[in-house]
Amino acid sequence: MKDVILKGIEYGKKLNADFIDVRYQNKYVANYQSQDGELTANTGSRRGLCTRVLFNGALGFASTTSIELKDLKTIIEHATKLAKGAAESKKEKITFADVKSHTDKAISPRIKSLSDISVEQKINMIKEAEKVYKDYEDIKSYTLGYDEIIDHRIVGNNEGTLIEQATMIPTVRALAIASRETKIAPYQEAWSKAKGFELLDEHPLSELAKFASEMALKNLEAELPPGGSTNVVIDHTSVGIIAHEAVGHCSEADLVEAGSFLKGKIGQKVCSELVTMIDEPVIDDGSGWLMYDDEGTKGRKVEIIKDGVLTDFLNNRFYAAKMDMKPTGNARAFNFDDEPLVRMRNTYIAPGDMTEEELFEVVKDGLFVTGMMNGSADTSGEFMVGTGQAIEIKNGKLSDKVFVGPTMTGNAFEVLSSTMGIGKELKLNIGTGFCGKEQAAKVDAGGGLLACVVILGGN
Amino acid sequence: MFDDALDIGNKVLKYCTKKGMESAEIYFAYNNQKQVLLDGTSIGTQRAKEELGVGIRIIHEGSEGFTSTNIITQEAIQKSADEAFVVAKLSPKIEGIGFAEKQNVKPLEGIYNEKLANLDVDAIITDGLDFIKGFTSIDSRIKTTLSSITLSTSGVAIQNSNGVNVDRKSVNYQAGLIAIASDKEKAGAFTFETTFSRKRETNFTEVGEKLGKRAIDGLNQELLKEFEGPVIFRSDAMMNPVGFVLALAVSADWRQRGTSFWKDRLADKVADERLQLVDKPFDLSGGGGIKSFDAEGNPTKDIDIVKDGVLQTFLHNQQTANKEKLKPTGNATRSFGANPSFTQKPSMILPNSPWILAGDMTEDEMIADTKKGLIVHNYTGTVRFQNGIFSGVAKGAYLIEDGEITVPVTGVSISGNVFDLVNNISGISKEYHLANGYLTTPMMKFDGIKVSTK
Repeated sequence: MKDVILKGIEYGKKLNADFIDVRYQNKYVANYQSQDGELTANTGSRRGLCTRVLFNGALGFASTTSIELKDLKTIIEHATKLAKGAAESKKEKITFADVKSHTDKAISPRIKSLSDISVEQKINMIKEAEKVYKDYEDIKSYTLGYDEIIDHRIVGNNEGTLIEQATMIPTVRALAIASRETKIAPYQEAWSKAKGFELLDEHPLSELAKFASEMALKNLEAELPPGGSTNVVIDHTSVGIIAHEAVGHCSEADLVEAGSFLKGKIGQKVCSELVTMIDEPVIDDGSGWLMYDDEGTKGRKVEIIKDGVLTDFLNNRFYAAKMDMKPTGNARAFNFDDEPLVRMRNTYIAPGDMTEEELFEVVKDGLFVTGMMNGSADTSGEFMVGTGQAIEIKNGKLSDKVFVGPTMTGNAFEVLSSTMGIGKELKLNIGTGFCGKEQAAKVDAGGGLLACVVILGGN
Repeated sequence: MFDDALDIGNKVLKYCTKKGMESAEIYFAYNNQKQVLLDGTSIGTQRAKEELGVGIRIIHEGSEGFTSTNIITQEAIQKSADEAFVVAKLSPKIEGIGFAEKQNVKPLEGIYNEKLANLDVDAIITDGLDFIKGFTSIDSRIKTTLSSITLSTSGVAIQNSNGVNVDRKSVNYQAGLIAIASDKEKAGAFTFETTFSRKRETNFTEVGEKLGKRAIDGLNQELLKEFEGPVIFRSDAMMNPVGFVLALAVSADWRQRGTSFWKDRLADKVADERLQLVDKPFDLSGGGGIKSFDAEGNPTKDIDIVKDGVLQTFLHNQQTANKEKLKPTGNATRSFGANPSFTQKPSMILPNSPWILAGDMTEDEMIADTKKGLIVHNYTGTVRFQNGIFSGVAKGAYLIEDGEITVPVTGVSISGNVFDLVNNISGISKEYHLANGYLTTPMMKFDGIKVSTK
């Protein structure tokens, strides 16, 4: 494959491209799940080649499902034609920031390769784990799933970069839907990491099924908490969603340029000095694992906010040039026919110095918000995060009162300015979540537990 | 479009029989896109993509296996079929599982437009520049990002062991457009608009102007005090949360699993008598879901789902229909949106081209009839589809006072239950809008919504 890519690049140079890169990708995705005992598997591969051609400040992109050199040449011609055709209408010329060229092969960490585990083992694991649901009379419907992504990509360019990268990401998930008379309450628990089948040892499906069932049953009798401004301790998952959705997106260079809240604020205090926020290419088994990005740039750790002060943005080579910054390695594409965009990897709020008990004490009266449903934000920093459950904090201690997880809203920078404390323990996990900025991306996010003030869209 | 793929498909079906697979289904999906990105106040990358892929489903002794590939050779598809067969043999029986039977499919003219399919990328660039001209004419503080205009030509072909052999091709022209206004003092909220058309008829300058005005309003939003009252949902908010919740509640699969809120309500009054929910897969003025056969090859048809507030039917695919010894309604779905996906099996049941029928008030009358309330473009937040509870943020929200839109507002959370909302309708507009290229809907006004604020 590398030979085809290199010959393609040579062909692009002959067509007078100012810059050309070629990316090969073969992505295998499998989803095994049992929904109420109906076991189904959805597996498949998508592979292909794509190219970007820069000509006179305009960029053309084309892709093909073929991996033959003749077809690669055809899409290079097509991308060149598109770039040439657009060059005249392009007011602002595209240039790419300089980066060091690399030739390397990177493989994400794994002990038990997902490819070595048979389909039979995966199916039997689900069949065994789903027996747990039989212990819960009011769980009327469930979905228990195991997913995997096995991704192989090679990117090369006319500057000498040639990077081969292989990742595997398993996901385990359990949904329980409790129902009694007219009441229905769902709850989902999930884990996803860049590692091998050992994820299942750390998070057995049966344990997930049990946890989701018990939480759904609690929610069945619970109501939403009162709405409005509330003191909260937020768990790692929702901290991650706020970090990713509300702050992280505002720090992506394309959205900064479009006018995000963080535009023009480098060096300014944007939230509490207790907050340091980081986006990292590789952190343990974080599922946003990305040693090199899809432009072949080696990823670097980016301290977006340090002690409350905005210090850096996430970028690709185009925005690094435009904003006169050092490339960060955040250009990512999900499938072979996607153009790389500025995306996050593993984004988190750095841990602080408080124990869980100390955080409850500092909040005094409020809610401990756990679990994640979904999240979104816009460039003004306004966000919403749907949660799974909320437990009352009364006089600095957790009470027995449980609420259905409310939706948290607010402006992230105001919320982070209200930070009362951050927990000592760092955890990253956003479960089945993918970032959906134009195309999917497997990311991870988290942080320490966060004590702050948010608005709840409550009862 | 399919070249010799259909011939390969027939050969693979014979191979499956020879290998002892009880029955097989082959689903080809073709997508060809010409796309122009818009970034800042300039055009961005020009993209060209083309992909033909295939999903193979095997049913064997009441169990199912599915795999997909975009390598279209007889050898690769046969290998996928073998893999699906392995899964089917390992899986437990699924009640009702089966493939579509051969039936007449009513022809549907007008979804393929040769002239549009051959549109040159220069024309798309022109439309992109018109959009930019539109919003920059409103204010120089407005930019766009992640916006694109896309010409999509797509096709679907389904072959199965029961003799189903159907195909179609279509073309559409759609855009996802975003505008943001910001200055040194403030960053405005995201404003976005989608357009969908089967001709090149959108006036992108106008779209740019309208979106630009909303983007500037995003800079001038005011805070609001909490209240409970009427909220008018514009088209995107009608899609989410209202449209999604109702679409899933009428899925026979959800009813059979006991997760539909309306599971025991067939022929009951479930909503205000003014609510009419209809599936119109043959009406060309609808969205991207128009089709004459569904994702399993069963013919589609017009369906009254909720009529005068009474639930008329649940929607079926082949499996749910088999379970109840009914005929499928032609609502099997593999993916959401106008473009087909070969990587998914038909696991969802959704209306093909849903319509909420218009009412008797103009949009201006609905606003004039509101003493104090909100009008909302979009909703983003949690939706519990099973019980209808939603809680999240109203985006593009404006305050209505004494019958007039007064100020754009921010920091507004709304919550409620969609199944209650449809019983608290206080107005339905005469005018239709297409939400997310899928739901054709009027604006609707719902009473008694809790509005929380900072």
